[in-house]
Amino acid sequence: MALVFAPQLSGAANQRVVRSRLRFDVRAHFCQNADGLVDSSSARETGDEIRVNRLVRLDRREAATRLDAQHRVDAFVLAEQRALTLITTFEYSMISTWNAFVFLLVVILTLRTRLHRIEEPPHVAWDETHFGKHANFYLNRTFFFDVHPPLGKMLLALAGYVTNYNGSFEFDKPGDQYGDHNYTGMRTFCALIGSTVVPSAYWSVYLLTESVTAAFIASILIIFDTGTLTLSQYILLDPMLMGFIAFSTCSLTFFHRYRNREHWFSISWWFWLAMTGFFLSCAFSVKFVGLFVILLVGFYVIWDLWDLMGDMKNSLTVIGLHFLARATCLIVLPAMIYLAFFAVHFHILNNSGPGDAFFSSAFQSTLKGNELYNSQVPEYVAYGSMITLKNHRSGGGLLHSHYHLYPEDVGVMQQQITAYSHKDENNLFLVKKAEIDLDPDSPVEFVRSGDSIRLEHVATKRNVHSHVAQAPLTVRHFQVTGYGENGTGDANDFWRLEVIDGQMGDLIRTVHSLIRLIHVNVGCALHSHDKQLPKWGWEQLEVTCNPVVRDSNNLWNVEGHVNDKLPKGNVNFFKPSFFQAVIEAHKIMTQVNSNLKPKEGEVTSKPWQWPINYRGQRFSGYLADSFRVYLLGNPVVFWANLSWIVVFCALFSVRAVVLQRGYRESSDVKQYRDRMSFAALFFLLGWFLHYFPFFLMGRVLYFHHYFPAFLYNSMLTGVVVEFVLKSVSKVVTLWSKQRHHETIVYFTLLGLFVALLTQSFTLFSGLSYGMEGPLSDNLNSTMYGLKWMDSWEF
Amino acid sequence: MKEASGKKKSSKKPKEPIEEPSKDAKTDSELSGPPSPSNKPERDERGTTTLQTPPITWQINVNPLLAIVAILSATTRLWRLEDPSEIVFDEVHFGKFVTYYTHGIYFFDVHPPLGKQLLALVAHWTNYDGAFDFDVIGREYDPKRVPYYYMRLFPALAGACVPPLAYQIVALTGASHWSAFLTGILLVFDNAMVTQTRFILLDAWLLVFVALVLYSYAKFKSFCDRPFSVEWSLWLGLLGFFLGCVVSVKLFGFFLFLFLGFHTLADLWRLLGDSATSNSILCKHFALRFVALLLLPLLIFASTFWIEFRLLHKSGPHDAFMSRDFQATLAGSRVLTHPEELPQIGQEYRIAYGSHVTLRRSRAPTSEGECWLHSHAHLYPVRYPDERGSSAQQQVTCYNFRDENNWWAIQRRGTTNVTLDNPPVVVRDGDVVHLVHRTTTRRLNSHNVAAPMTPTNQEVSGYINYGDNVSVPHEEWIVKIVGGGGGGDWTSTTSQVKLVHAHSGQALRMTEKRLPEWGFYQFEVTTNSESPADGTEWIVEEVQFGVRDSNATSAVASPLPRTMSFLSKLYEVVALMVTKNSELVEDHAFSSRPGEWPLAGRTIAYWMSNSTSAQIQLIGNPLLWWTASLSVVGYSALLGFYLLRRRRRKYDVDEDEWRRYVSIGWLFVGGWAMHYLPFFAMGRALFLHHYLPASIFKVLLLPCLLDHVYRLFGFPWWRRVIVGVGCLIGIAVALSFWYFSAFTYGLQTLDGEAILARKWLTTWDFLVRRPDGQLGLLY
Repeated sequence: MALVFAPQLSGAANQRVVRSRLRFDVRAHFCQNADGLVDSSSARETGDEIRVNRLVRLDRREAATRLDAQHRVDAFVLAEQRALTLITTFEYSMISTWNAFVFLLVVILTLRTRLHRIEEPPHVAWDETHFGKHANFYLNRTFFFDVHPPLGKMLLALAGYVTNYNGSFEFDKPGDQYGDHNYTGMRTFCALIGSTVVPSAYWSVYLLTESVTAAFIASILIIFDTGTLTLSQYILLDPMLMGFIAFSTCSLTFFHRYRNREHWFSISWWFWLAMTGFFLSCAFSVKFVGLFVILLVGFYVIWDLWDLMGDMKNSLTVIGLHFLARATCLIVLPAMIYLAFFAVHFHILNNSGPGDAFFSSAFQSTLKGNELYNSQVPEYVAYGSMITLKNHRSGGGLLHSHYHLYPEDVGVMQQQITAYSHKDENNLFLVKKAEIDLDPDSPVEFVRSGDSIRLEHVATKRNVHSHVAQAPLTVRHFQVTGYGENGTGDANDFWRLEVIDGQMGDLIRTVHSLIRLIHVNVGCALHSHDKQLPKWGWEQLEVTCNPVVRDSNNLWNVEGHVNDKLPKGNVNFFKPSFFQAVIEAHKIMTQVNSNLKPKEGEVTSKPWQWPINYRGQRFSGYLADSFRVYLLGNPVVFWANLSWIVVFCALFSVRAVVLQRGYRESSDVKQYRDRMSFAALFFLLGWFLHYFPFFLMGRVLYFHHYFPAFLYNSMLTGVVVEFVLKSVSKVVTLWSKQRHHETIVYFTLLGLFVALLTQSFTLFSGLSYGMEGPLSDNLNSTMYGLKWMDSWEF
Repeated sequence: MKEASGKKKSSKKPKEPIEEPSKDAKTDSELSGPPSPSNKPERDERGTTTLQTPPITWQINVNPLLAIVAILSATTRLWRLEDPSEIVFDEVHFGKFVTYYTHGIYFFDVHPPLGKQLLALVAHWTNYDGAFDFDVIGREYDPKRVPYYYMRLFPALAGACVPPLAYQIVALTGASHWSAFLTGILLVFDNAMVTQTRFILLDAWLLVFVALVLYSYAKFKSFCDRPFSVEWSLWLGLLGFFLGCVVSVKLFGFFLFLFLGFHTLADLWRLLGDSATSNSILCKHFALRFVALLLLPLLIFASTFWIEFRLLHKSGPHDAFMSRDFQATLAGSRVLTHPEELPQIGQEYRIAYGSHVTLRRSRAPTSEGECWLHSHAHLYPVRYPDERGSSAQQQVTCYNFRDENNWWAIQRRGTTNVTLDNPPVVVRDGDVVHLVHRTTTRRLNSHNVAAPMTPTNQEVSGYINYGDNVSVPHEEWIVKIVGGGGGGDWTSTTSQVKLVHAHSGQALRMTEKRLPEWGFYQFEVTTNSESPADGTEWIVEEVQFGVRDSNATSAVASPLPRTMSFLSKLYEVVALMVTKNSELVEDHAFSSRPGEWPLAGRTIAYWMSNSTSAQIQLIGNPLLWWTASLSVVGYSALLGFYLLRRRRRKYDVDEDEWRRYVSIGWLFVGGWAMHYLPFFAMGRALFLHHYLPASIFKVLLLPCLLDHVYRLFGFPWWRRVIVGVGCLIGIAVALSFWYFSAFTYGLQTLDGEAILARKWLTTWDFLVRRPDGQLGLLY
């Protein structure tokens, strides 16, 4: 038909314009033609449409009888023009009104559900304690460290700032009453940005399927899911993450809309491409989970470019331009935006704070209030100095010890030496000569490269010691312990100090000198890396003695330095550039992220539990009669979503086999099915990419990680339900031979489905809006009888 | 070995033995038109003799290239196989397993049984009596007591088959015989492949079965234009057979199974699109492949286990891994399963006031096994990490092991008597009792305090026994018999009871959640509403009568082996294998990450001499591994280039060559990825030898790629360059094999300098014996 035939038309300029308009509108016609809503939205239209279709079909049949190619083309153009005038007069406008109406309904429902009881509970719930604190840090401009990129927390701080929250509430622990502090501003902001997932999902589905029903079903599934609702009502990063993920998906579908030749490089085309890139970087800047939507877009782009390449009408130059445009908008632009967020982050946080010790000494010297800021430390290390030693690797900790011993089965049972990422009294070590004890009255003698020294832990008076025994985690290294009584140990406490890139006899400059400590007897070097000790070691980093002396993790620098006999020198520190700071921050984030282990007694979950809604998370309270909020998906929505994935896979495989076997579908059926399966495959891929990577992750996982995947699953369900409803009603019509039955069946089933969802939401909405009174196994509870799975805890 | 390779030749190009029909002289002379050289001189000598029957002769076509590969392969694998005459690396495990087979003792291993059974078969042939103790690496073998040479010989022979098979596979993909020869040479000279197949290990079986699967598949494909012919069916059947063998040697073979599954699906998909294939033919294709590639391997897999269970029928060291039912099938096992045995071993049947009992959770063991109601003199922590308070009373838990602390006395309400009445009064359904913990004399108590792990449930604790006539309602439990016989009497091992807390009406329950460290990781016990909750049913397992000394009667024994259906046994063992496999997470000195493998980044020390620096290391031939990895990159790059060009309708190679290029990618790159990438998702400790199956695929790819490049252009200089590259690779790999062979055979003693010279990568862990005899890593 028009679409199939169009590429054969010759390319006169004016004809092209006509053709493009024609194609767009005629396609719209067919799409809606295939859409049950048009057929059935009013009886008047049905009659009109039959008439239109008959005329169009006649015109085309007539056109197809022309033998001569040029004549045939002309006849087709005429036919399409007539069809266009017939269709556009009422139908297209009608569908737009209908669409706008449904969309408005969806938006109102979303806001109504999301903003309802936003102020409840008036105390800190779940992770609000973290993110609230983070917002405080921004508002107070103190430096902190977190495993997530900064955008989400900066937006929270901004929302707080705009709504007159001044950062003075402690967010100490879950359950703390907010009192007079204005917390609803930040919650409302989160709820609003969390609400955007619904309109975004609506448009994503509508644009890919051109079906209002599908878009409506997808939206209603998300609206009526208690989990998504709960997650978007609190001061968390997830509403923003989901919002930006949905925005990127939506922008991509708009871009997809403009993928025909006549729209290439048009303003809208560029706009949506750039918007996609922008939202991608926003999603990624909130949490690294945003990577998955980048992958989704990446796969789409590869498919798209591959498609463009296959069309021989496109010259290589054009393809190159396409490639460059995508690279610019989807790689360069997002990278710049991401870096810009970090620039803002570093700019805001310019005061020393709890995150200092994660970063290198050089970086710390840029923070106001840090001991290295304006260099309030003596410049050269002398015997009798008390120093802290910082591992030079990005994310390296400070050499640390404490009274606890290594457990029985780990090496020798002596005092632990670890590396610790926080500033602490226990990080201080006293520098002594190897053989001679310190004389407090002797004149100052500086430490020099090549000297043999002892390091005495100031708090416990034990020396840093090593011997040939297996280190606790890195089995090929040797154990490092604290040994001796009151600073007297044995020959295994001697370390030779070497300055890297220096001569023998060089002085040791605070922060500047990179040093290596080599164990005199064993010949190994003091080493620390990113492995965390188990609970007995307080999850601090392991310190070992590495037989490979040249390893880059054997390098340390003096960070803190206390010596009353020495003047506080004016050491000029090398300040790291912005890029170095960003790279350092990322290395530390990766290290901490991969070391995230469950805290004791904490409920963690496995990815397989998520889609079946196996177990939720407690947001607030768990005892009877307290105010309880429980993050749990609406089970009806979750189980429906899961089963529709199965239905889709079955339908898709059956169709694939039938087509491969040589069956040919009529072209409008094919067009409809192709469009629906493209949409479904796209959302299925989105679901897959946001879900399966979690199976490969070693870190601790929680139920709320599933919700981005849930969005895609709901959109998929919308598409498949629409397809099945339509097919079923068509089949019923074939059987009953009465055309109006199609409408009846279609709307009855749709109504039932929506009624089921609404009912399940009214049943379970207590999970989100808060439950009080007895627990669900009590007869008097509002949730009595709703504990369908034993694993649910409400 | 030479005979073996000779036979292969004849089977490859089947030549009928030339038997001259000798009906009469005339036909004879007519037939011998071009006389064969062997006959000719004979006839000349005999001169005019006419009625002479020609001797029976065999003409065997020997492919010298293949013969060279086979001879070299056998030589490298079998040379000085008896050295070192000490236990090397995992021989310590597999040797032990073989010993168990000789005794028929049941053991559990994470690998399926076929490989070990083959080793045991060798041991059986060579009359190994199971008297040698495989206890520690480096222990000297006593050749009289253990035929270790033969136990090494058979895996080594299997390993020696891999290079000739690789030759055939490459030849079957349509590459030239010189490429096939190169493949053979490369595989012959891989140090890792040689080391891994020379000892009593499973990998040799795994590798040879992988090669056989590939060979059968290549053969099968070569007959694909004659579906349902005899050869086609034969090779399909063999393919399924060898697949079954691979899976039965190591569970890892499952990936090969999946890989061929994809190939089969792709083949069938093509058939589906072929309109010339009728539906019935299509069904036949489906059915045959289903039977050969799914049912047959499963059948083989299951039958190896069937043999396993037949062979190993005695109770052994790993019984505790298995369920009670399984243990009961083993002769000499110490589990008790059937109540009718009770009279034999002195257990009483009815429970009277004053009896001492152990209470076991009655449901069939969950994934966590079974557990007994337990208490000990430790208290609940005053505060939990989430700021909730506890009663700080004595802990009551559910414990996985039999223990003195599992004993509870049944006490009449409001008394302190823990001995039997005279005559004994039996506890009946609905009676109210106290349960007194025997070692701490605390009573079982529950109250309105949230349980530690399940805050919606009530805490259960041990509380002070206030003595006579004081009955605290919190300590009263109603015995509610919900299953089993006894006619309302509480009986041991048959009655399932719920213990309902009289005060709150809730039932004693084990929640399947483990307590943290303060509770010694035992299971939590709470009370909860009895209706839906799992884990509220308990069973009395052992009974004593006021006897304080548990040793007197608590011993349980099951003298008779029981039966359990084969399928449930199979299910249990396989499920256990899968879980145990993923639990092997302990960091090992020589474990490595998959990222280090393709470039031979790590080594594993297998053995070291007691006195010198002679050592055996598993080390990939670095030149081979590097070039082969490069070939994967090269292939992918070239494929990308072709695909982009073809998309623009530029066809650089002709269709046949293109199809061959794609098919070697499907087969070798796909196989490599399928056997390599899954490791990235595995959390368990991994070792370099896990990479060997993948490395076979990689090495097969290299010559095929060279072959393709050779055909790309017709210029003679180009072809000479490619041939040169091929020769260079072959020679370099052989030289590097020789250079590292000291680590492969462990015969040559290198000094520190020489070892250091061979340490090309800092991550290789070569050992050196210091002058003081101390062992050290070399840096």
